[in-house]
Amino acid sequence: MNPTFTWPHGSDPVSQAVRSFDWTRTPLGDSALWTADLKLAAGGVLDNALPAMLAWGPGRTTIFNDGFGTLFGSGVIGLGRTLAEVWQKAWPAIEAAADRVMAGRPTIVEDVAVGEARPGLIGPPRYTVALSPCRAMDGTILGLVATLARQALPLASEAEAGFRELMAGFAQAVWETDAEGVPIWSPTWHDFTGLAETMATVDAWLDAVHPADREDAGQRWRQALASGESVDIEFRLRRAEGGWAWTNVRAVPIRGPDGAIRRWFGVNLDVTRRKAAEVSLREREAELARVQRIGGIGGIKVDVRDGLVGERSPEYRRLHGMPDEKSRESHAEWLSRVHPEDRALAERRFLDAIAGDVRSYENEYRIIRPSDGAIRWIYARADIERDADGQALRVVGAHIDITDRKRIESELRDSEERLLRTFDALPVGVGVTDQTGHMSRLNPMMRRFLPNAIIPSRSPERQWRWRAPIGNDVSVLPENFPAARALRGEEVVPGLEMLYRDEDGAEVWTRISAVPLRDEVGAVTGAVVVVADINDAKRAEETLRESEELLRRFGEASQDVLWIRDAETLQWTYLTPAFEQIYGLGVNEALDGDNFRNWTDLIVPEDRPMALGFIARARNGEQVAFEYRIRRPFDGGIRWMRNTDFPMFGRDGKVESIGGIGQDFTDKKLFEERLRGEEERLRLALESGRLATWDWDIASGRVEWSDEHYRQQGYRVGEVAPSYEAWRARVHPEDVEAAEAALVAAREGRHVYACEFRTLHPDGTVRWLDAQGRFFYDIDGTPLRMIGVMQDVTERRHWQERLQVLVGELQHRTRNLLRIVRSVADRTIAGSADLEAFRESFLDRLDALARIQGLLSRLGDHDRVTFDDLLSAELSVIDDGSGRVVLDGPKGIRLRSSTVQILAMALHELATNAMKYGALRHAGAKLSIRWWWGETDTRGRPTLNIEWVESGVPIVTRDIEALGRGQGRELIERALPYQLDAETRYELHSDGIRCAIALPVSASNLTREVDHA
Amino acid sequence: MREQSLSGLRILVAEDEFMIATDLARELADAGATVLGPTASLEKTLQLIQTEAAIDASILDINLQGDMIFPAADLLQERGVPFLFATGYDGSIIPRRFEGVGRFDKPAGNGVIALALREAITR
Repeated sequence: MNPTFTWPHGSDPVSQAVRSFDWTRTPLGDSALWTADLKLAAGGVLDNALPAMLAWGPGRTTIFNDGFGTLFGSGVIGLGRTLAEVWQKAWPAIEAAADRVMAGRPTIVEDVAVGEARPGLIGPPRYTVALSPCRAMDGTILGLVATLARQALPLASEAEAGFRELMAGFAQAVWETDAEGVPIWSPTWHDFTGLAETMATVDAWLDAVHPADREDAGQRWRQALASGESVDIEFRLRRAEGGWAWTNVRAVPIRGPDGAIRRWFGVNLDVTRRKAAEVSLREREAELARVQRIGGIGGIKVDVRDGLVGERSPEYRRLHGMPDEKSRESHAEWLSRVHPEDRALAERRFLDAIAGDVRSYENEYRIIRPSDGAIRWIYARADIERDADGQALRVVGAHIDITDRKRIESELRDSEERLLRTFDALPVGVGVTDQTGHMSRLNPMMRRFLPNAIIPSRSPERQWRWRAPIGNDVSVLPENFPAARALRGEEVVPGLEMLYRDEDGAEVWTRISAVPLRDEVGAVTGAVVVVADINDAKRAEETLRESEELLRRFGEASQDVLWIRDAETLQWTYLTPAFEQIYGLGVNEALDGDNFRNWTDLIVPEDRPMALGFIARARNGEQVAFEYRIRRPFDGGIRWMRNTDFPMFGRDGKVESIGGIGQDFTDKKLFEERLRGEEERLRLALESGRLATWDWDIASGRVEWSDEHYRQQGYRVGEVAPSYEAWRARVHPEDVEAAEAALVAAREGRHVYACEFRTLHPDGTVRWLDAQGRFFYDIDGTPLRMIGVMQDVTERRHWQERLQVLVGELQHRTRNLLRIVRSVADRTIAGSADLEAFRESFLDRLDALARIQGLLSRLGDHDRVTFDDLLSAELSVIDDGSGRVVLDGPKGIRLRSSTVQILAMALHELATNAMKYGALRHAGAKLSIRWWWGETDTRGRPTLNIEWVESGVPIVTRDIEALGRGQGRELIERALPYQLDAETRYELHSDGIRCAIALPVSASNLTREVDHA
Repeated sequence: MREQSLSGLRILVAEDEFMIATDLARELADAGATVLGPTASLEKTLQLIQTEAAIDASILDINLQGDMIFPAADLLQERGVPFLFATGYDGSIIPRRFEGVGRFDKPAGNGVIALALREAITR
């Protein structure tokens, strides 16, 4: 270990610093090579109790201890410097002393200011510096040592007393407190405030403070005490002589060497005058603001040197719509508010004014007020303050809002211009004439009438053009022309109508009005003359008069009654003579009294409210048409009236009167009613005749059907919209083609459509309909319309068919009959010996046939010939009533018609034979005819059994032969079985003929029996 | 006389009136024909047509005891047998389908029917 590296010993910062300091750069050189003298001397300094330093060698290189470093505040950086550098400011005081020490004379320098001033101290601390030489062993002085001792505080000295006097001289009071703020010394305070010197508390002094300031002052004093910062408070202080004085308290803490506050020292400076000035200034500013506000004047101040920053008064801010707190703004801010259209010019004016040499400035521009976006006109006027060189310093001035003035100016300008233009554009001539008749001012229209601008009465050369006819060729004299009269002080209003002959020689109607112009004392100075061209109106008036006359004549000639009522009173103001013809009441009589009331009384009561309602509507501006009845007063006759009433509007758009046209349509009405009755009758006739009608508008396809039409086609009335298709839909499918073809044929061939077709109803009913109609065409032959009737002919057709059958039947029967007659004739001939016999038999047979035909022809459809009828018809010829004939059987057995003839013929032959050869020929012989019901046959037909029995007849051979090949037998044995499906038996017995017939009869017998049962 | 004009022909006669039927049958027989029937009802006529194998021609009364003969006519037409209507009716009652069928009115005599029959057969 090398001890040189550990020198100097010691752990204080300076010792450490000395150790690490690079001494080689100093005159002392490497510390390891330092001499013992140096080390001794340096060690002595470093270990010194007082702040101490060593300056060594010719260079007076310094080494100092920690105390010294702290004191100087320069710290360790001072190592190795020269003495002069270390002492810095104090060097002048030290230099001479240092020289003396180096010369071997220890020296003491007192009152040296060392280091920095510290808070709470008056100036830097002061020290007594002891300087001593450092000698080598040989006595040579190698350096010097300085030790510093803090100089004792000076006591209250004369200087201080003087100082205090001085303070008291310009201060209201000077005082001193201890660290806690309790006053120690304050005679002047007491003198000033007049308060007793009894204060021993920290707050006692506040008694002297104005109550309004007291709290603030006390609080700030306490804050200062707590923080140790110097005090600067202003408040009002009681004056011993009464009243208050403004004071400014300045106090500083006085600190001990340890930095702790020992005392407070303060002065009260009188600021009363300053305060008063301030208050006064504030008041004046307030007044100014008030004046500005009342005057609507905004104040400005622009500092030209300070970048054109402007100060704005409150009123200015209000006018410009600026935020109230913004009292200053830049030039750019001002400019941004100016209306873009005015911005460039307004700025130029302002800048030019500043740049030039003028001392006043004016500007007018619009702004867009930021507060509400409104556009306002601003007028600015200001003084420009300049320095001696003419450079602008400040601009001070006022702003006012001239928007309203601008508007009024503009309106005034417009109004004047309008007036002027109106004057020129007036459709009448207007002129102002002086007393001489010369016009000082006239519009173009007036110039048309007065090219020389002189009124006619004063213008002989043009006077002839004017005349005011008042009768036959008499005119108003020129001195009485309107302008002349006005110049005499007369107001000629509405004026005089005059004819003016224009340059073309045509006369034009005018109306001249004139009024005098007077001066303040009422003397006539001129006149205003107005000429209106009333030619058109005048001519129109004439035309109107003519047309009114025409209208009157129309009205008088009209069959309809025309009237006009006043819309207000509803009284007639006009009534034409037709009234008398219709109402039977004279016009004058009708107009008498409350003629509206009288008129309404004529209306039959049932129609009255309705009629009044319509008149009220006309009165409200509506055109109405209505019908009503009136009762004629003189004969009580009812007349039907049809009125058209319409409003007549006045110029104000209100209904002024009501016009009315009343038509008597009684005859038409009666006709209509008759027509309606006939229509109704026709309809009823059609309905009761079951005639359906249709009316087909071909162009539109619209079809009308009568109710019956629906019914005939199986529709419910109104079930479908009538149409061609609806008709077609119900035509029987088998008949559609023919029915449509007939329709086309009728249309193309222009002939009547007549067609019978079937209709098929949804329920399956089929009916025959007979439709007949015709087409109507326009001039070009286009079919327009088709009208027709339709009838249900189902029954008729049924009967027709029936008739046809009957006729056929008749023919059939007749022809059959003839064939039978022929056949009978043939057979009779065959069975007759001679013509006489033929004649007898033939006629007999024909009679029998005739009887049968008689029976048959009497029958109705469903009637049948009964067996007993048939029998009695036949037997009546032969029965003599002798009782030889016995009949026994039920009555009313009905025979099929087709069976009657042959059966009758058979019976006839039997009877004839009985007469000729049998029971009816011989006395004592008998004929018994019995009949009864038999079984029902295989086809369900009831059977009639007949038994013909003759008895007691003496048989003659010849007769028998005759019978054997007789017609009767053939009929019974062959014809009845053949023709009637009968079963027969014919027997020739010894006492007469026995014949049995069983034949089916009409099935209706069964139902009859059922009925009887 | 043309007695033999219908010789060998088998002719069906439908006629409900006995006397007319017998007259007609005789007339036809006189003309050489063989008479089938006569029949007095539709039912019997139909029966006969169905049972007779050979029928050359037929005379049909239209109304047989109230029944119309037409079903029988249809049957004959089916079989291709020519026939005539003998009727007291006028033509309107005859259905259209028999439009071309010959017809004569009763009474007819003196060979009229025979002539008409021949015509019907040869057509």
